[in-house]
Amino acid sequence: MTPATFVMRSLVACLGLIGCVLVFAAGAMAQDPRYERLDPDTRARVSQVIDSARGLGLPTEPLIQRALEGVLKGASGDRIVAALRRLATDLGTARAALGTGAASAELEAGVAALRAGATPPVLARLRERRRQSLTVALAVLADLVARGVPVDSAAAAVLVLAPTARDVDLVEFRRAVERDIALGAPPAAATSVRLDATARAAAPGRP
Amino acid sequence: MRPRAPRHPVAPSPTNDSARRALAAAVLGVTCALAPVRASFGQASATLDVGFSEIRYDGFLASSAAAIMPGFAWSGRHAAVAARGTYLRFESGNRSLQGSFVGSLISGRWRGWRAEAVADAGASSYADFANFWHAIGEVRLLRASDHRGLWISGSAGRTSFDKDLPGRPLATASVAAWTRRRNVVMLVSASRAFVGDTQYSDIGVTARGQRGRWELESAVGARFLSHGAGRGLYGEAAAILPVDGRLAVVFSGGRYPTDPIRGSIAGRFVSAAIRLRLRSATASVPALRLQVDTPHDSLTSSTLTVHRDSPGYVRLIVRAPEARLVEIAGDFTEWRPVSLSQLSNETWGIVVPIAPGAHQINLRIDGGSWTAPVGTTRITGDYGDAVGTFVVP
Repeated sequence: MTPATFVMRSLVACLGLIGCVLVFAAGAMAQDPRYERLDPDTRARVSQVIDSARGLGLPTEPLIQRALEGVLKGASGDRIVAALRRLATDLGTARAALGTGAASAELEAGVAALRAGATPPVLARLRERRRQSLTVALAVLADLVARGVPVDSAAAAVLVLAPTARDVDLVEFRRAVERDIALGAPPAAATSVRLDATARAAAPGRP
Repeated sequence: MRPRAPRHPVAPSPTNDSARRALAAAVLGVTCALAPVRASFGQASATLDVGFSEIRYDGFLASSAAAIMPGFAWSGRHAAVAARGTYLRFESGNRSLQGSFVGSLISGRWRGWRAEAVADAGASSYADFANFWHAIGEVRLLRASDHRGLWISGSAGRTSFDKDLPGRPLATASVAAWTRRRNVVMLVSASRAFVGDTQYSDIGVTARGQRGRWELESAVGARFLSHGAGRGLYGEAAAILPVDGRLAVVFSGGRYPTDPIRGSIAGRFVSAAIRLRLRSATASVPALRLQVDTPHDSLTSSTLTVHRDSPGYVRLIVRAPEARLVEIAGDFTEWRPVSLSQLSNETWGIVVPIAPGAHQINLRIDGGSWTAPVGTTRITGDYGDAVGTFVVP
C-alpha cells in the first residue's frame, strides 16, 4: 500500500466515522420523544436554535427544558423560539464570564444571577475565588438579589464566602439572611449581619 | 408597638375625613405596592398586630385601649413602600384612627453615595373632633458599607390640625449614622424641625438586635431647643418573640415625645400584642421548606416541604387543605404535570429524582393556574408568568 493510498483510506474511514456519528446523533434527536410535544413548525425552529447552541458548545438541555416549559404553558411558537434565543444568549454570556469549562448547572445558575442583576465581572470574580462548583453560590447570589438585597451587597457577601464556604454553608447563609429579612431587617443590613456572623463562626479557634 | 393619639385641643370637626383619607391613602399605597410584587424582584411582608395598651398621654388620665394595627412593607432594589394603619378603641369608648403611607425611590450608587427620594403622607383622627394630616417630601443622601453608614436629609411639606384650618409649612433637617457590631445595629440621629411657629431639636440612639429567639429594639432620645413641642428625655423598648413563621408576640413600652408633624402628643405606654404575618415572600428554609401560594392561600396558606430521600431523590410534601388535586411541574419533570398522592386530609406528596443545582417549579391546585411557590425565589419567567426557583445543594 502506497502512502497516498493509506492516507486516502484513512481519510475515507474518518469521514465515514464522522458521518455515522452525525447520522446517529440526528437520529437520536429525531427520536427524542420530548420534541414531539412541539408542533412541527415550532419543532423545526427550536431544533435550529438548539443546533446553533450546540455548535457554539453551549449546553442544550436548558434550552430543551425551556421549550417544554413553553409547551406546558401554552406559549406560541414565536414566543418559545424567542425564549430559547434569549436563554442561549444569556448562556453564552455566562460561559464567557465563567469559562469554557463551566458545567451546565453552573451556566444555568449563572444565567439566573445575571438576570437578577449580577454583572459578568462578578461571575468572573466568583470563578477566580472558588475552586468548587459555583452552582449553589450563583443561585444564592440570585436569591439574595431577588429578596431585595442590593446587587453589590449580595455580590460582596457571596464573594467573601466563596473561597472557603461549602455549599451547605452558603445555603445556610441564605436561610439566615431570609429569616432576618422576614423578621423585618433591611435586606442589605441582614446580609451584612449574617456575613459577619458566618465569618466569625469560621474563624480559627472559635469554639 | 406604640399607640399614639392625635392632639386634642383643636377646633371641632364633625367628620373623620382626614383619617378616611389616610386609610384610603394607605389602601391605595398597599394596592399599588402589591401590584408589582409578583412581577418584580423584591421582598414583601404584611402584618397584623392585635393587642391591648395602657396609655397615659401627658395631661390626661391613664386609659386602656384595644389596638389593631395592619401594616405592609415592600422593598426592592431601587424602591420601597410601607403603609400602616392603627385603630385604637379607648375604654372611654372614643376611637382613634390613623393611616400612613411612605414610598421611596433609591438611586444607584455613585462614588459610594446613593440618593433617596421619600414621600410620606398620612392622617389621623381622635373621636369626632381631632383631625390631622401631613404630606412630606424628603431627600436623603446615603453612604453605607457592610458595617456602617450615614445619611443626611432634608424635608419639606405641610401638616394640618383640621381640614377647616390652613395647613402649616414644615421643614426638617437631619443627620444619622449607623454601625453594626455583631448582630446589633445601632443608629445615632440628630434633627431639627420647624412646623409653623413650632420648632424643636431631637437627638437619639436606637439599637436593634437579636438574643436567642428574641428580637429586641430600644431607643432613647432627648428633645431640646424646643418652642411649643415639649422637651425632656424619652425612651422606648420592644421585644418580639416569634412563635412560628407567621405568629409572634410583641411587648413594648416607654415614653415618647410629642410629634407635631404627625399629630401625636407625648405619652407613656405599655402594650402587648399578637403579630400575625399575613403574607410573606420569604420562607424560613429555602429548598427545604417552601411557602406555597395556592388558590386556597389566605390565612390558611399551603406549605410545600422538600426533604432529602434516597441519594438523588427528594420527597415533596404539600399541605393543601380542601384541595382535590395537587400538581407540580418543573425542569425535573420535563415540565409535565405530575400529580401528587394524597397522604392525609391535608397533605399530598411525591418522591422525585432531582439533581443538585438550581431548579424551577410551578404548582397547580385543582386545575387552576400555575403558580410560583412563594418561598422559592420568584422570578418572572420567559413566558411572562411567575416561576419559582430553588436550590438543591
